[in-house]
Amino acid sequence: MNLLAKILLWMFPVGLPVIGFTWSYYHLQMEATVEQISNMGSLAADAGARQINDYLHLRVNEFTLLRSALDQCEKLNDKRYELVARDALAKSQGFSALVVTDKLGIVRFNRIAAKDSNRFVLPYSLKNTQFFPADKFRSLVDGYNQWQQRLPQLRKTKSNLFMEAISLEQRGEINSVRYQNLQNQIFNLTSLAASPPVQIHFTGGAEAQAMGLPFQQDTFVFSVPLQNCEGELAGFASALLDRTQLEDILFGVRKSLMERNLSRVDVALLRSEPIRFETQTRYLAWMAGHVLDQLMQSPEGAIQVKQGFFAQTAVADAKTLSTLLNQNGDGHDQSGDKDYLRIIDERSHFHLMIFIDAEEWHSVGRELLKQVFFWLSLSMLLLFVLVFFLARSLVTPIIRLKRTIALVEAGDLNAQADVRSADEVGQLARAFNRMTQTLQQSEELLKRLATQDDLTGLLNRRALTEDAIRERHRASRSGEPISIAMLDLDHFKDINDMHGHSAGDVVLKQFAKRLNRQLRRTDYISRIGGEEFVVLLPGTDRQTAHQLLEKLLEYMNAQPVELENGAMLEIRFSAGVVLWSSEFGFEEILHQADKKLYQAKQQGRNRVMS
Amino acid sequence: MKRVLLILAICSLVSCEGTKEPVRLGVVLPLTADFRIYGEQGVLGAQLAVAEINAAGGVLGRPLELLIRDNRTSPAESVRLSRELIQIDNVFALLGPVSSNARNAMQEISESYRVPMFYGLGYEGGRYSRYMFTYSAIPEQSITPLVPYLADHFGDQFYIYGYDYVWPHRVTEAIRSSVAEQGGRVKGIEFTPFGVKNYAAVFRRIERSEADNLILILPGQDGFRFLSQFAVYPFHKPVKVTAIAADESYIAAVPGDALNGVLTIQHFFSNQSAAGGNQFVRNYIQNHPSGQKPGYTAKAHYDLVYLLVAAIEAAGNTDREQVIDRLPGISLYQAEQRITVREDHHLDMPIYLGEFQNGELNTRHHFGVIQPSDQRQRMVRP
Repeated sequence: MNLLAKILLWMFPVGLPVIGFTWSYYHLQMEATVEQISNMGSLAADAGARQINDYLHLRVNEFTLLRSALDQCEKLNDKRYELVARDALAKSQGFSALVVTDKLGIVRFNRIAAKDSNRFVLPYSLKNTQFFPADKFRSLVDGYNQWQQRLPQLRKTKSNLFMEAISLEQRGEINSVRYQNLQNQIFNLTSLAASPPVQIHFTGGAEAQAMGLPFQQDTFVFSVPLQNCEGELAGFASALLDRTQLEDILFGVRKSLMERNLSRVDVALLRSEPIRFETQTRYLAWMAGHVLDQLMQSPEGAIQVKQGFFAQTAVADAKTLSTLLNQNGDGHDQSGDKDYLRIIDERSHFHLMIFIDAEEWHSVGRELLKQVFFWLSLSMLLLFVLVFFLARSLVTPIIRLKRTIALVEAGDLNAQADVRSADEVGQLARAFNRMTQTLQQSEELLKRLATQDDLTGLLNRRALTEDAIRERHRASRSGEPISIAMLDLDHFKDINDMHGHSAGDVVLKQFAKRLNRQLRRTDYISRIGGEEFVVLLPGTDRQTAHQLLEKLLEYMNAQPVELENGAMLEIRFSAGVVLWSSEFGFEEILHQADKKLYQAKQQGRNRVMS
Repeated sequence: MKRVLLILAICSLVSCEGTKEPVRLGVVLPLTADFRIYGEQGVLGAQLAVAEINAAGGVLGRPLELLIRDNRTSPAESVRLSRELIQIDNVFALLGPVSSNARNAMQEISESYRVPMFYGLGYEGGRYSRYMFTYSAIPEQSITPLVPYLADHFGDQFYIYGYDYVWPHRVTEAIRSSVAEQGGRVKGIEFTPFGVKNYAAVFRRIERSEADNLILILPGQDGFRFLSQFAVYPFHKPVKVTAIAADESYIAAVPGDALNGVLTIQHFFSNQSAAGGNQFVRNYIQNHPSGQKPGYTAKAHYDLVYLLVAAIEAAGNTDREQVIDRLPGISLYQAEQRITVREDHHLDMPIYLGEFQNGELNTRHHFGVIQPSDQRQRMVRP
């Protein structure tokens, strides 16, 4: 794997915490949203249930007044009883209609309350129809009969209590707790004996519609038996609770949720046995049994399922209201509100149910997801871009350096790495460049050392040998002649002796310079000994070579060298020139040239022999 | 990899899911019994408007939805349905009803729940509520131009025959004062219960009165029966009948040529010569189950939906109070057909005189755009 990939791979885990953070942010926000929505739902359920329970409690109180207004046994069978009913209804705010039936449950008359919700009602008469459903009628009659049967017992109990009270009075204990209790019990028993019990049922929808009331569904129907002045059952009076007021309470709860931007909401009255919605719903068509069970068993009265959030609080149903109304039945103290709520919690089958459709938080979730995605994509993109450019900026100079090294390896010591940054890679590159430069210089030096004579700069023997062999091959190929001349400076030792070694060096250097100058570019000039020189003359025959050397001799003689000490020295040399024919090797031909040189020396020096 | 990120980024900026909560309108109209011809027209007109608006992208990007309920002409039922539409279905506004007492009932609901209602039938005028908008040719707009025209063309002796409830009574008052202004005379006034079978006795009385014009305020089945019988009664002098509230639906309902020559006065007829109504008329006929032409009720409900949508778009949101504030001043159509919502929540509207002839209802005269006086000054106690 290359460096770039490695860097990218190592940097990417940095993205993981970013992803992790945004994921957990999203989840926390969603949880908070759902929590908030659930809280609002639960609060609404509690507040709504409280309102409903208070409302129903008020109706119970109202009905107590209403029924006492109806308690006029002498008018019971006349036409005037309708007016009694009208007055009774006028005493209440929460009842839509009053229906008076005979003891068989057949309607004698019905009256609609003069209230706002009935303003546009066209009332219809239910006269001569059966008002109660069979089971409810039976329970009304049974209730009355049971009460009748208990009367003697009640009277007896009351009389006993009365006796006890009198005895306490006689003893002067009228302020004792026991006396107060007795008075209360006597009072309760008196009221109980005086009037038959009220029964409350949740029914009457069809009858309400038939009557022309502004609702067509069941409501709380408060029924009380009516007695003639002889104490016999004469009929029943039923007051229908104004259902529109209940619906308005539910709507109020709904509005409070709408004000908090929750609109996909159902606020409904739910009966748990059998499972049925008693008010209309929009999002929930029905309630699944297992969901209801889960909801009822939840300690906070709230659950969250895939479809949405449910919250429920118990509200009074017909039975609990009956219990409340008839509470003084056993001679106990009037129970307070705490008991009312306790009874509702324990026994009621009615619940205020709030359902918040999951879409409410799904839409929040979608918005959140969009936001989160946007920021996440942005940061990942940024991360990727930064890492990529960082990696590139690191790796590119390294690659360049690598390429330069490859060139150097291939032999190009001139290759320089083009990396100008101030960082470590730049420093490395510059060091590398310096190193190759040094190498190159060393190589040149070595090369020079290997091929040059230090003092004069002329070819050394080894270099000359190489060149000579090469030129020999070339001459053989081209057929051109090639000659060799060997030169030796005359009386060189004397120069050293007379003027010193440095004078000798000066002479040698000068000689070499002049050789270079006078001879041709194609000639190879070398110094093979102290004052011995060899000249290789390619493309030159023996005569031409001889002439060249003669001319050289003349020139050297004519131009003395000026020494350091001012002395002017004449340069004299002897030379042997031979033609190098191809059957001789280099050493051999040198030897022949040397022989000629020796001849020149023998014949008096300062001459050329060929 | 970059491409995936790019797609995600774009998707996050633009909304990638479609469903938007519809704006619901509760339609409470009679779809059974006598006034169902008005109810059906209202429903069809509203439905056509909703279909067109939804096809063009809805209102503020949300679709419109109609929840249609039959109030069976009963005020109590109107109340019950309106409560349900508001409390359970959370409608933005109510459309309807037809009869005045149902309207008064709904007005109270509308005010107590602060949900605007839009009424599209003619009525007696003089009612104002912040939450009610009445697209109605009130007597000032219909009777006031009508009577002088009749006096000029047919004579200034009038007979009035109508139902015995609030609207015909008020229309009658308007006729009487207008006739008095013209220097004419009202020779007879009769108010009748519903369901009379034979009108012969009435015709005799009309004949005896020597009236030139009969103003008939009897919409519905009774009216059809009246006109059919009227056409064959041997009047010794011609009596010109103006049937208030008559519209195109009468053509199918009254057989033969009993309608010939009968006048009516409205803010819209299908056979208007002007261009603007034609598209609406064409689309309505296409969508109508039996290809019937639209009457003023259909047009009123059609226009009401458009007016409401224009107000919502102007407000930029679905806050009822803001939308209500934006309605006055909104106009539809141009020049002589222009309707405008007024500060008193009534409408300035064009008034046409129509005449039935050979199975058609033709525009006989255009009175121009009539602007009634401010109805808030005329408030009548219910």
